[in-house]
Amino acid sequence: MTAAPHLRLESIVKTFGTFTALKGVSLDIRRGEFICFLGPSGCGKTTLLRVIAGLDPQSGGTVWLGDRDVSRLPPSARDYGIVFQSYALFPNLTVHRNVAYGLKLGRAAERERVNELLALVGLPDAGPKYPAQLSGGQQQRVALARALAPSPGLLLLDEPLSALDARVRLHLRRQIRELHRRLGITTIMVTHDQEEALTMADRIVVMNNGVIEQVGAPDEVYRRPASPFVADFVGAMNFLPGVLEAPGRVRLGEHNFECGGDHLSAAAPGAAVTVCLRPEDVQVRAAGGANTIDAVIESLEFLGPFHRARLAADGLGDSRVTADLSANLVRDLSLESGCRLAVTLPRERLRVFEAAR
Amino acid sequence: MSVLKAVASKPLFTARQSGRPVEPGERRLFGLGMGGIALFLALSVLLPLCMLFLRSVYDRDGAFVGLANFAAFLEAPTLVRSVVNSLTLSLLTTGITVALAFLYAFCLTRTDMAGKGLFRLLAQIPLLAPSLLPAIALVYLFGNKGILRDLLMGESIYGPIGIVMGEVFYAFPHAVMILTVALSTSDARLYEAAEALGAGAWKRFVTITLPGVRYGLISAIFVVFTLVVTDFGVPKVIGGSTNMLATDVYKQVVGLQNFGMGAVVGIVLLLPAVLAFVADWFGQRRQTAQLSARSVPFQPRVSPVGDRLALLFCTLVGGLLLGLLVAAGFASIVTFWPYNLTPTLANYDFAEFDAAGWSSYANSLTLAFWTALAGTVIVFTGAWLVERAPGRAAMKRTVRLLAILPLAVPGMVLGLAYIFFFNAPWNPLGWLYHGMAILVLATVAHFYTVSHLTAVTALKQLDAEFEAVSASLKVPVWSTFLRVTVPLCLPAILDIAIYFFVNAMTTVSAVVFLYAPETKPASVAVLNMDDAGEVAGAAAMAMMIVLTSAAVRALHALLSRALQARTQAWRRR
Repeated sequence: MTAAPHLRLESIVKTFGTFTALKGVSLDIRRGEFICFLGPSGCGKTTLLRVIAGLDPQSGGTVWLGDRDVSRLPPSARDYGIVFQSYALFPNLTVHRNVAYGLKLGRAAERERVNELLALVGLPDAGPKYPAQLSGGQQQRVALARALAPSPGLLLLDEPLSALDARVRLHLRRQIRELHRRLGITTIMVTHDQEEALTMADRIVVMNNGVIEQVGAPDEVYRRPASPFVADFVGAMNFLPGVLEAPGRVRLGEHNFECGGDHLSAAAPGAAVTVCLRPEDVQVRAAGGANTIDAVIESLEFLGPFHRARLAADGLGDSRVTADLSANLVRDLSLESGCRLAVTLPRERLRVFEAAR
Repeated sequence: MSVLKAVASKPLFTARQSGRPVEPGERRLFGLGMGGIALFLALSVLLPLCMLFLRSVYDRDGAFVGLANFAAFLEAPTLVRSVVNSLTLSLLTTGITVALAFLYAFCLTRTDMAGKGLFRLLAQIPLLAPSLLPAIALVYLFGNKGILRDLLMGESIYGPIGIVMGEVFYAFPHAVMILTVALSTSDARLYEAAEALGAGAWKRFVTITLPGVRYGLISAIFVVFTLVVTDFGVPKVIGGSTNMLATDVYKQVVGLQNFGMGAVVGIVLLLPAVLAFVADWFGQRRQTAQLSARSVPFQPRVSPVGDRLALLFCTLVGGLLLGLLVAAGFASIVTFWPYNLTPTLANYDFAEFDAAGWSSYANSLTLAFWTALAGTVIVFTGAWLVERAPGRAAMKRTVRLLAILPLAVPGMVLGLAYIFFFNAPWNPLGWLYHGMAILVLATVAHFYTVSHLTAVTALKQLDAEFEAVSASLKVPVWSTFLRVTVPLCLPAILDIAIYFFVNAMTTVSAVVFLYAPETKPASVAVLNMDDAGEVAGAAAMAMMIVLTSAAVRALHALLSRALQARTQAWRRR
């Protein structure tokens, strides 16, 4: 990456009274990227978006847009379009006039631009209607068109899909992603829905308690979570308490396991650790070799395409391992509660974190 | 009237933070606007009140006497007698009014009786008239020449009986409105659950209905008590030799020119209102939302006996309200009540009774017009600045507090405070003192709070991000104010304007201290004519006020309906 980042946040701090919502957040966003701020409610993700928008100015730190310091500029002097969770469409104006709200063009040029945008969001005939006559998903697309109308350099989306029902959400996800691909506009979306972030973002910024836990591409965040928080928040995860024996070796209960983690360089042998493993990474068919243990299926929960099994492994004490077993596998091996089987916890899939004290 | 509902159902103090930086041009405008509103409220409410407190420690010659006025007040047997009268009669009136209003509101909301719309309208009749009107009507009916005099079995209407009857009429609609709101916010699911658990009607009433409306009840009790204890029209006309605090203020100031003592009585009058205000504030704070988005509205079930009883009760009460109005109206168009009932319009030839003649009616129209116009603009802009403009948190808190303050100040006290403030020789605003402007100012200030809360309620219903969106689209915030906020709030704005107009037509209490001969409003003319024994003329002028208020209210209803039809497009799904 040689070009200057499109948006640079430097040690952003935001306090509300005695509460610190952002504790020194720094982040670079490249031109044309689709970024998701992901985290539980209250983690500071919306606050960060509002800092970027200039709606709730930061208490400390700097916001750079290109090579401009916009930290102290009012919203209208920054260059962005924004879509809120509530859409904030003006109910007394038609869709056409909503979209044209920020345009300063002649009548003809304005009409042309509005039609172009309505076509872009797939609502070419909605112009004369009022927002209340549209469905939630359609209103959201109008809000998107309105935000894009003045051709801003940055698009901010504040939980744009969370007020919609599941089917519409899926459809709009694809549409926003497609719009981004076509327009190439730098986009920041705030969401608490990890699936949304994983499917839409170029890079995900996982936040918790006012700090960034991890920044990375979706598969990186999913496969190599940088902290137990990320591991827990994104996807399902087994957390098994253990002890670090030596670099690359952990002991869980009575067993020693090899692990490929290079992320625990700081911990000394003998330290208490937490070993993480995704349920779908537990191997049954190819079980064997290192890291293989015997287990009993304690319970088996049907979840459609797969079953979620609770495994009581020999020598792991009270810890239980959750494993996702495909419907195929369960049928082929006639698995049911009480069955014994051998499972492998693959060394390259084990993530080891220092145990929380 | 949705104006009072806002007070009944909304907490008085709420905060909402928004801290976006603003454009330099906007900043100046916001600063000017917010400063202007704060200055307006300081000049029209806060400073006059301060002067009232200050004046209470000076004697009639302007010498500082400390608390001597208060001591004199406590020692004067007539004044102490007034306190006792005011307290007992107000308590009695409050008891009767709230009981009747509760039943009436219960019938309106919890039964399936016929004619609810009509009864809602009937309950509002008293709002159209100055409080002098019921008293005049009672004089006609039960006075020395009254046709129903024998019903009193030898007792005189001039005194406690007349005061209580008149005040019940005057305060009734306020209690009904508060209690109707309280009773209609109920969750049907609670009643269904109680019924499923086998609770009888009485148990459901005691365990669900009463707890649900207890804050409304408390609020109604305080509102009625404050209204009655500070009302001056009814005891003035029908009180006879029974003195009340409110009439004492009038006597001390207008009759005896004893301003220091007037101020003391004014401060005493302020007490119940301030008490009510504080109690209401705590009540509102403790009240948790009873109605969530998932609540199911209560649907009254048909009950032949109950509905008929309800209809009987409401017909009786509504009939009495209408009866008083009709009595005054009838008496105003006959030659000489009750001996010569030939119809005539002679009583409407006001010049016969009062030097001001019809001009006082014209004055009232002028006053009402300017109050409605100026009041609506100031209140709505002020509410918008406080609720939706960015920054200036400390200033917003101040303005919010100042906007609530007038609710605790009775009209008499406000009028008195204005004398002290605007008549002070050092006050550069003294030129206002004898004009129409001071009447407008006093009336806007007097009715500020309810209007402010109505505007706030409407503004809070708008999406919080409208201003943020327009800023991101580089549209100036005042453009969004005019293009979006005002059109969306038009129904509330109309409500506010009508509230100001009707109250400016009917108010007596504040303006009675402030009018000049050439600005005398109709409501004061009613008072003067009654004072001069020209009761028929007084009744006729009161009827003119009623007719005007009613006409304006009807116009408002038509306008609202037309507006709704025109804007239906964006309200309908």
